[in-house]
Amino acid sequence: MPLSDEGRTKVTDPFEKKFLRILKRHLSRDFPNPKRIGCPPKQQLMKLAATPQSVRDWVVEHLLICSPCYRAYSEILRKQKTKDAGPKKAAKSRRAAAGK
Amino acid sequence: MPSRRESKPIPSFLLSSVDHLGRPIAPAVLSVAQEIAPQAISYAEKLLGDPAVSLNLFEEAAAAVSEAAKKRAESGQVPIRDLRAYLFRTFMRRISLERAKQVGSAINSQQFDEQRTTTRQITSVEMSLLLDEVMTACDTVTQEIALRRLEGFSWNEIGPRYGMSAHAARVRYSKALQRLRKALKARGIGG
Repeated sequence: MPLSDEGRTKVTDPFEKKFLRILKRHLSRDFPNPKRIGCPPKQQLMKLAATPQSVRDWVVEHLLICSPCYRAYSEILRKQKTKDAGPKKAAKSRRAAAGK
Repeated sequence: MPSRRESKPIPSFLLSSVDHLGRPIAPAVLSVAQEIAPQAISYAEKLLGDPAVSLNLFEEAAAAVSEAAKKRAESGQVPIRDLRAYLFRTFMRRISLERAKQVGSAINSQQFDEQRTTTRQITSVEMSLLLDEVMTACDTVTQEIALRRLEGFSWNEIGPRYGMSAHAARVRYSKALQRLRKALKARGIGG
């Protein structure tokens, strides 16, 4: 399979890299929606990031056609990732300290 | 002179209930079309450079969707689940065809340098359209997986969020990528 290894964050496949780069640029720029027509409230985006299955399909579909919402969701996911990585890093450093 | 810059308002579109080919647009489709018209048409305008052509294509797409919905109802098939997404996809395909025509005419114009630039631009526009097609054809879980992948989430982080294994999440996403690869190959765009 031409994808990066399971569990790894880094994307190694050149096609996937290109796909992600173009998709990100496309979603964050090409759908300006200045009047924010049909946008879900921010709470829905936060809920989608936390428990995706509890949010209705149209919210995800909307993210693909609204750049402001996509950018907001992207920011939420980034924060979530940083938050999730925090305890893991701490645990890793505790394990390393215990191993000394 | 006003000190503040005024933002350009998005025009509201009043769609006709018949497209320019005389095909009727069903009321249900018309109401959905009216809803997504400002976004869809301004997007198409950016790609095609002409609001009138964009509006015509949008009405054509709405008429085509009306016909498809009618045929489904007549033959007792399952009705279209999400008219909004279906209409958007149809419109994207229609724009894609229009762009292909424009590429054809650009090639006939024999302006080599200009042609090369146009082809480069079209490749990126085509790529965006293909991405839209592939993404909208995916189910919402796969769409969401791609969105998380964009932020660098690993498979081990993505899978459990959707009640599946990391491998299952990866396979779903991989299938979408394969579809994109095939579509790019079929249209002769380097992937």
